[in-house]
Amino acid sequence: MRQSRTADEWLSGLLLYLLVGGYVFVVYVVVLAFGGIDNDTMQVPWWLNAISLPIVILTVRPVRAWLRRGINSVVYDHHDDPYAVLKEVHERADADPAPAAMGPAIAAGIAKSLKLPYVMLETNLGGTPLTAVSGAPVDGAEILTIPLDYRHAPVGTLSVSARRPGDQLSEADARLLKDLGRQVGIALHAAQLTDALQASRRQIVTAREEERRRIRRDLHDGLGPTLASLRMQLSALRPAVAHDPAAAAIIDSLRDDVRAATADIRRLVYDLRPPMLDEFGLAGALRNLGAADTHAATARTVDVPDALPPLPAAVEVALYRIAAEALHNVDRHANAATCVVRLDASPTALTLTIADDGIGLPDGCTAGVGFSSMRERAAELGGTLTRTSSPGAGTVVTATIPVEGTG
Amino acid sequence: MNRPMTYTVAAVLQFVVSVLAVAWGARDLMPGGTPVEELPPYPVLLAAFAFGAIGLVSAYGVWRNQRWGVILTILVRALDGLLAAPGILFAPTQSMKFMASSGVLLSIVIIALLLWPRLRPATA
Repeated sequence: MRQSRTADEWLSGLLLYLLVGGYVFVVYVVVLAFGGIDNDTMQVPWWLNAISLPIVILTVRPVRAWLRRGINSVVYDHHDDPYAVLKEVHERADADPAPAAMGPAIAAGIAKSLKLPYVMLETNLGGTPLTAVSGAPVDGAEILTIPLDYRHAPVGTLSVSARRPGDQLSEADARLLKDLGRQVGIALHAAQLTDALQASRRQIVTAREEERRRIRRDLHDGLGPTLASLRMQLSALRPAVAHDPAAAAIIDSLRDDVRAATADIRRLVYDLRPPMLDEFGLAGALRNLGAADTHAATARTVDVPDALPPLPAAVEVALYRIAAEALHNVDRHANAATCVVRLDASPTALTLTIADDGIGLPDGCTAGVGFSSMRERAAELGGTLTRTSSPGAGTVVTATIPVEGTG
Repeated sequence: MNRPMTYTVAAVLQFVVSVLAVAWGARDLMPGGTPVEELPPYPVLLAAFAFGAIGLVSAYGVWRNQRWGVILTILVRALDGLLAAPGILFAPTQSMKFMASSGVLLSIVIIALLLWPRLRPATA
């Protein structure tokens, strides 16, 4: 469907018809002036019309094309205010901090600010080619492709179409787009670095948690039983040396040491990874967490899906720890009657919400260690954690963690 | 300010033309100035004076490399040129015919300078 004409299109059309009309009029007047007309009778000899008509017919098309290029350059160029273009593009790119959203935002920003019908931005984000397109190419219009780089390393390409069929982009347009391309190259490079850093961080955290799970299993299934067996053997040995008080004392001491080591191992196992996660899974562990403190003043409701997809250890631990910390905060500070723990699973993310109906947070409340820790746990996995609250209206903590590619 | 040379020349020409139009317009519009039979019709005089005044503003806009200045100058020059063109044929005196011709010529030159295509060479 044909879009409605913009003010610039109306202006461009007005100038074009005015100048083309003026050209035809002036050509006619000049021919008459050279040919001479009778000022008294105002009669124009037929041969003057015969001369002026072919001149106009032959020249009006190239003159019109020349005028149109010039008018388009004047009406659409932003050579007078390149900062407005930069500002528009920057604001759009800044609106969504996600690196993947930057490409479409930049393409749309360039298309809007330069009034270009088609802008395509091609880049590579996290090893995945990303193509952002705004608008559609104009038939017969020049497509200008600008390579985007950062310190001579290519980061993508920017392709733009001229505004009308048969048009070229003006020198001012091209210059501005090249300048813009440098800024876009830097922004894309930063986005690529952010993306790579986030992916690397996620991999490190995931690997760490998987390693912790392995160590925990080894301790729990290997060293723990070995120590228990050792203690039983020492207990069995004890009657045999009852007649030798010195040996009995050594065995008692050894038995105590083994008991202490077993307790240390148990504590270590718990610290490495909450045992409930292995025992019940995330859903069961959250339900268990909700029912853990039967003496708590706050009535807890846990709403989690019955079945969750297999999750990386890091995601399970992060959500469990966030829920535990948030519930701890509710018990200590919220003075709430009810608290709801809810877990929503989508194909791309898990969202954990802990909402209470307590006293809320006072205005100007700054993040404490607990909240920073929760946020850090979410951020490590590329997620976010938000807290909304108002005095007297309770507090809602929402953690969203992407699950694609975390495993 | 990154103003093209063509804009600089156009702004200077537009300023000079506008100052002359305002000065001559003020003189001719005053009673007792130039004899009436040697003057263009009164509406033409009035319009030329108005275009001169607006032209001063538009010349400033072109000098500042502003889009509005360029567009306003093109509009003013186009209308002023159309207003002067009949004078080439019908002005009562040779000096007025010369003035009308000069006005049309200067309008064409200024518009051409402002629309001068600053295109890149064709890309391969």
